[in-house]
Amino acid sequence: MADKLLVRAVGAILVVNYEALAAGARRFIGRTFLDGVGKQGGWPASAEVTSVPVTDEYLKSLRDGSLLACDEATAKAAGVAFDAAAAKKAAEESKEFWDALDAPTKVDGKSAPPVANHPDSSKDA
Amino acid sequence: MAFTIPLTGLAANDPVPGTYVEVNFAQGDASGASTVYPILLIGNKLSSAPATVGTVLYGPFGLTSTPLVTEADCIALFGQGSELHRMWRRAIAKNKDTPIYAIVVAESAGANATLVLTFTVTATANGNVRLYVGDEFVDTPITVGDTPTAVATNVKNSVNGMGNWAVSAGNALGVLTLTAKQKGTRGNWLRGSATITGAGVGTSVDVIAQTFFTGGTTADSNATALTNIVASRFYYIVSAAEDATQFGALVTQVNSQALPTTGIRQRAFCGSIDTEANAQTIAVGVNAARAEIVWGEKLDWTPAELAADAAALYALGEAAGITGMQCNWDSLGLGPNTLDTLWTVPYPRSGTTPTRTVIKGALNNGLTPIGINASGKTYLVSRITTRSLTNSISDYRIRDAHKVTICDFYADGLQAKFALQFSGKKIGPDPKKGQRIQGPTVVTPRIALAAINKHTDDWDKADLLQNAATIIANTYCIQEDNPKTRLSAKIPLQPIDILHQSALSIDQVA
Repeated sequence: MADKLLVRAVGAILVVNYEALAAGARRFIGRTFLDGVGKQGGWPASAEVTSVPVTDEYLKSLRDGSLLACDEATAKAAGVAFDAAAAKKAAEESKEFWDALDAPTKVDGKSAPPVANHPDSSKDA
Repeated sequence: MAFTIPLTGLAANDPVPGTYVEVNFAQGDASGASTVYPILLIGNKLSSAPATVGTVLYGPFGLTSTPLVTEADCIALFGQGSELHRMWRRAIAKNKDTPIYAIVVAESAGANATLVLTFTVTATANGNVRLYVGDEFVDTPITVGDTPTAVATNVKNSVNGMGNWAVSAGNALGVLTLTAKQKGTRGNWLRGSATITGAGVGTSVDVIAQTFFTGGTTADSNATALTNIVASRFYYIVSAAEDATQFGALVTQVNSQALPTTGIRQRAFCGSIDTEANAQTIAVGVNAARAEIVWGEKLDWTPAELAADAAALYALGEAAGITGMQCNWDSLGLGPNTLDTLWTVPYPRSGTTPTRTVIKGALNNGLTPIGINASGKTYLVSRITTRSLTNSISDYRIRDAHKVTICDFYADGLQAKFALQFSGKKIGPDPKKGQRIQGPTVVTPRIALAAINKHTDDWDKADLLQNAATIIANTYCIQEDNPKTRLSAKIPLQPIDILHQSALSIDQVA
C-alpha cells in the first residue's frame, strides 16, 4: 500500500488541499498560486508532481478523475488504471507553461500565457 | 471641505434625476421593504410545447395571455416532464406565497441523454421490477414465464405512464432505453437504476446501482433569455444551467444590473450534483456575493430541481423581511421549524456522503453543501455565497448569504423611503447657527441623515444589524460640490452575524 499519492491536477478542476485548509490556508492540489494569471489570481498546474497523503478524499478525487495518478502505486491505491501517457502529457504541458513563464520576455506574471489546465484559461485566451 | 461619495457609474456630470443606491459587499473591517421578491426559473420546455422561447415571461399576474398559476398552466406552456415543469413543481411544492415566473431557454440542438438497462432470463416466478429515475420509482409486476422482452415492454409502459418524469422509455427485446425528454448535456445529470425483487424470479437487470445518464450533448444557450429579463427584477433567479458559461453569464448580468445606475438587485442560484472539485471550480470562477450554488454529490435530484427547491425555501424564509426573515440556514432540515419540515431532499441512492473534511472544503470554496447525518437524513449544512476571494486573497466577509439579503432589503427600504420623503424636493446645505431654517420642501444633508439613521435604527430593532451605534456614528451625508444637486450618503452597514458554532469545553474535575 502506498504511503503517499503522487498526483497532478486535471483540466480546470480545483481539488482542495485539505491539510492546508486545516491550517487556514487555501491551496489546491497539484496547483501553484500565481498572482495575475486568471480572473481570481490563478492556480495553474504545478511544474512538479505533487505528493499528498493517502486519504479517502484524495483517493476519491483520483477515482472520479479530479486528480491524475502519476505512478503505478498511486493508481493502484485508488483502484484506477495508470495512464502513463496522460501523466506524461500533463508533465509536458506544465513544463511548457512554466518554461514559457520563466523566459525573459515573460517574467511578468500578468503576461503569462494561458494554459489549458488553468481554471480561467478560457477567460484569458 | 470638498469631498465626494462616488457611486459606480454615476458620474459627476450625470444629470438623470433619481435615487441611486450602491450596495458594496465585504467593505467593512471585517428592512423589510414591502417589495415583492419573486422567483424566476430559467430552463427548457419540450420542443412540442407552445410557450415562446426566450422573449416571453410567464408568471402569475397576467403578463401573458396564458398565465402561469397552476400546474396545468405549467404543463400546457412547457410540456409535462419538461425541465421547467419539474423545476416549477419543486418550487411550488415548497412555496405557494412567492410569485414564480419562468422564461424559456431554447432547447439544445444536441442529443438526448439515455440510460440503457438490459433484462435477461425468463421469469421462473412472480416478482417485481422497481425502476428509479431520480428519487422517484415505478413498480412493474413480473409474472412467471415473462420473457426479458415482456418485462422490458411492461416496464417501458410503466415509465411512459409517469408523465411528470423527465424521461420516456422504449425497448427493443429485453433492452430498455430511458431517454431524457430534453436534449442537451443537462440530461446527463439524470440518474436511474432498477431492482428486481421476489423469490426465485430468475430475471435480472444490469443497472442496479443508481447511474448517471450519458450521451446528452451540446449545451443550450441562455443568452436570449438573459437579454429579455435584463430590465426586470426577479430577486431569486434560478438557472437550470449550472455550467460555468451559462451560470457565469447570468451572474455577470446580475452583478451588472445591481450597479446603482440600474439598481436592480437580484440573486442567482444553481445546483450541482457533480464532484466537489468540479462544483467548486465553477464556484471559485463565479466568486460572487449574489450567486449561490447548492451542492450535493450524486444526489438524485437534478441540479435544476435542487436549485429551484432551495430558492423556493430561501424565498419563503426571507419573505417576512424586516419583520422576521430567516437569517440562519444552518442545518436546515434537521430542526423543528416549518422550514425544516419543508426540506425534502432525499438521501442519495448512491449512498454518497460528504465527510466533514469535504464539507469544510466546500464551505471555503463557495459551495452550499448538503450534508447527511448519521441517521441518513439530508440537511443544508450552511447557506453561503460563492464569494470567497477578493482579487487573489481568500475573503469570507460575505460568505454568509443572509448578509446579502439584509443589505439588499435594507437598500430597498431606504430607496423607497427616499423616494417617498424626498422626491420632488429642493436641496440645500445644512443651516448654520443663526441662519433661517428652510421650509419643508428643502432637503438638507442633516434631514437625509436623520431619515437614514431612523431606517438603520428600525433594522437594528429587528435584530438584523449589529453595532448600530457605530453604523449611525459613521454614517455621513453630504451635498456634493459637483454637482450640487446631488445628495450623497455613506452607510457602513453591519448585518448581524449568525451563530454557526458553539464550542463547549467540559472538564470533569471531580
